[in-house]
Amino acid sequence: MRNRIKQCLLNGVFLLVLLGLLVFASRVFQPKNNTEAAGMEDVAANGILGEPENSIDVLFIGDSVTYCSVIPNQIWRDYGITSYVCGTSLQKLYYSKDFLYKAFETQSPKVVMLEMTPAYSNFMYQENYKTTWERLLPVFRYHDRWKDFLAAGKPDATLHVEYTHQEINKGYYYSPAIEVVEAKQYIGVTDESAPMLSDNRKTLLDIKEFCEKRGVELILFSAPSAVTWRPEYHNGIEKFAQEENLTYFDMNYMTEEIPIDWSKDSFDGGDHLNYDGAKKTTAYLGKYLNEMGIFTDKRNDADYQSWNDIQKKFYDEVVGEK
Amino acid sequence: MSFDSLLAAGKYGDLTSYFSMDYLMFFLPLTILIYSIVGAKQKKYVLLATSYVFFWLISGKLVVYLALSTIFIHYFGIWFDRLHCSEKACLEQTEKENRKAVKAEYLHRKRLVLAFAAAVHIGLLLVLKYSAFFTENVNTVLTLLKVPVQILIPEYVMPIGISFFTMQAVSYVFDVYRGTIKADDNILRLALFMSFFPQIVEGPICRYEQTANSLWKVSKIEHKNLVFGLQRILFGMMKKMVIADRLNPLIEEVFTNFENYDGGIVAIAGVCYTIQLYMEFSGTMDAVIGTAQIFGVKLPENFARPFFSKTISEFWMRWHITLGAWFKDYIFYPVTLSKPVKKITSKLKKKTGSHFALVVASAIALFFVWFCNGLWHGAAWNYIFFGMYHFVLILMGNVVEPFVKQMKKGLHINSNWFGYRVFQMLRTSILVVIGELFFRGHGLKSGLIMFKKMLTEFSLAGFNIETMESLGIDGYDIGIACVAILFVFVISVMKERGIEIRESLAKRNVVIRWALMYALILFIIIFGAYGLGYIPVDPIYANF
Repeated sequence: MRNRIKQCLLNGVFLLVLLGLLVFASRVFQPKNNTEAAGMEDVAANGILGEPENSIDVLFIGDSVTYCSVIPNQIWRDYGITSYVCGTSLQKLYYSKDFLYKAFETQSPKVVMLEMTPAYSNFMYQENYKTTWERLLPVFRYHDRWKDFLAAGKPDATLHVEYTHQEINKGYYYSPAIEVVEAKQYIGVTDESAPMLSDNRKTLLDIKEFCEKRGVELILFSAPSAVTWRPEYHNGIEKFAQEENLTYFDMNYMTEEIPIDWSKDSFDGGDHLNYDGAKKTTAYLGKYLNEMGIFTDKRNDADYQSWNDIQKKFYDEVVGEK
Repeated sequence: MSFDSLLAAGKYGDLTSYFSMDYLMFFLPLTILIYSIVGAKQKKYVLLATSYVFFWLISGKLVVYLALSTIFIHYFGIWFDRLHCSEKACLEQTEKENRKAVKAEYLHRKRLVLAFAAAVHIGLLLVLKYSAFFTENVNTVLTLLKVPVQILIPEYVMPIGISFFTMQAVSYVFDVYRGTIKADDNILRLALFMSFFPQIVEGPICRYEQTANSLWKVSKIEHKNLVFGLQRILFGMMKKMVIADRLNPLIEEVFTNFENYDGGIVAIAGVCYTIQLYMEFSGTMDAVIGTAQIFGVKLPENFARPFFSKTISEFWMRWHITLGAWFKDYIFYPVTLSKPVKKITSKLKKKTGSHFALVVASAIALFFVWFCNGLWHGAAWNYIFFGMYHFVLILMGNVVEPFVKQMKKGLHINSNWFGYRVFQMLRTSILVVIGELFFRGHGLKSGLIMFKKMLTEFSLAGFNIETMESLGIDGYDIGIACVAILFVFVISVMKERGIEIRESLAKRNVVIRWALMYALILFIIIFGAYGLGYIPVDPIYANF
């Protein structure tokens, strides 16, 4: 019996030392800043990490449809509301959830706007555990940086992590190009409702619960996309929103409020909006958020002057509208 | 696990990899925990229950195939036992001169039962795995003959591991028929033998006498078994994640778009695939055998350093050993000892001498073995060709053996000379690599074109980092893969020399032991080809 207890204690010590090594290795491999040069992935979306603490009013989360449809600088320019787009290509809901958790470590937005294209992108629920695991021990996510270390001839000079990089676009992907949509009549009506996989649904409920616990309003929306959007998806999401008592609006049907012209508002044949299209969706979103009446206009707030500077830079340097 | 997830059983495909997070972080620890909590008498039932849950999670309702197969062999076994007993009783009551007739009568009956049992299992495998292939070929022949009829190609969903558990089932029935084992009257023990979760996906193909009783007599987890088992899993993980998966982008690219590459690149891809297949499959076997060891169960080895083989025959005694042994016991020997083959052998012996008579006898048996071996790997012509390729190599080896002996004698070549042994190993490895081109190629035609490219368009122009980078692996990938391969090589040499590495390690002090374990764990975590930027690689043998 004594031997057994001794063995159990030794096993415990072994695991504790291992955990210590993993924590240390995580510090070594974790990017020390949220820049590409520092090894950070999805730099545009992870720009949220470089925003001053508790400075974001609205968090947009979703895949490429989102980061091509929402221009935070426009919302700031028009209403003085701060927002950020945590959008990544082909984002799955577990990754959306991961961004939500990550953003809330330093931010406390009042509204989370979740774009619903990923709701029908299937995955296994276990991916949620994997991302949590990787967030806790980043060595599992950034282990491949050994190549960067070898290329540089040394590991990062410091173990200190400090995210200082601020994205001018605030997560928005700017593209002024035009590619005409072939199938212009993509909006149809159907009674059919696409069934949502239980893993997707469960992850959505996790997101909802997370927001509820923090008193944050979760709003579901679908941004215009002539390629990925389906009326069955709309029905499925609407049903889910009704069941869970959540707000949902679908911009694909709002042709009067958001007059997307698919002959010139997309840069890739209808999958994503170009800048002209994004201006229209953002105009609606800005108005919508402003009408909620829960945000103060911060354009003249001294603490938010960097937003005015960045907005100027965005329109001067990125868009070229002087 | 929620009720929703339970209902969705069968979709946990990730569990088919014994290196997946689902297996290593959830399934295995949970099984070990439950196993440790329950009393000694319940442990075997925990293994049985978790094995069925495991199979259910990856195959869903197809678990029925496994259950039915177990029920069938249980009753076939009992049937044989009754025939054995009845024969014995009958012989005791029969006068000496009539015993031969009684024996013949019972042999006939037992053979009928055996044929029925084999037909049920092999027949099911043929229908599920091969009917589409056979139908496609029949349709091709009909088209060639300009017969205006086409047969509908059937589509079946095949349970994972069916090729493995079917062979276990057939071996059990054969062994009971032969009387080498007694039929098991405990269906639960038989069910555990058939379904034990570490081996159900990729083997090893166990015999009843190898594992059934030790599985049924499992007791509490010993610390040594736990440590040794985990060490073996880690070693397998290193082979799979650091080497096999890291080479995958190059292999995928060249085998898919082989037309774009010269013979040199094709040769590199062939070598890389051979390394990948070995590291992946033997690594999985390490995880399988390591898992079983945690529970105190010794599974048969499936690999014994195959690239140290000096001939192709030896290679197949060291590669996928349990499959080779199965074919030897249930195809090679029965064919060799069958009446027609015996007849041919004795006739030839008189005309050509014993060497060629034996070569011909073994050739007939080997043909069936390698035809079945090829077909077992998959329902496609490239697999059949792969089998025939090895058949020809082994046959040639048998034919020229006396001449080679004479030649070596004449040239004063010492077979034990290191240089000669290295030459033999390299020659065998090159022949294996060529075979793998057909095995991995997308169809027989691709394999043939790739082989032709190696012969006619060989160039060293692509042997540089820039080309490798364009194929999806950079200099760092090559470097780390080489380091890991060197590590496996050193371990293999030590094992070949009979050094029990884990035993030696266990005698070292705790600091060295732990330091080595931490080093291996961190090596895998840091240098493994997983996560961001890597496409997960499915277990290769799970598809067979």
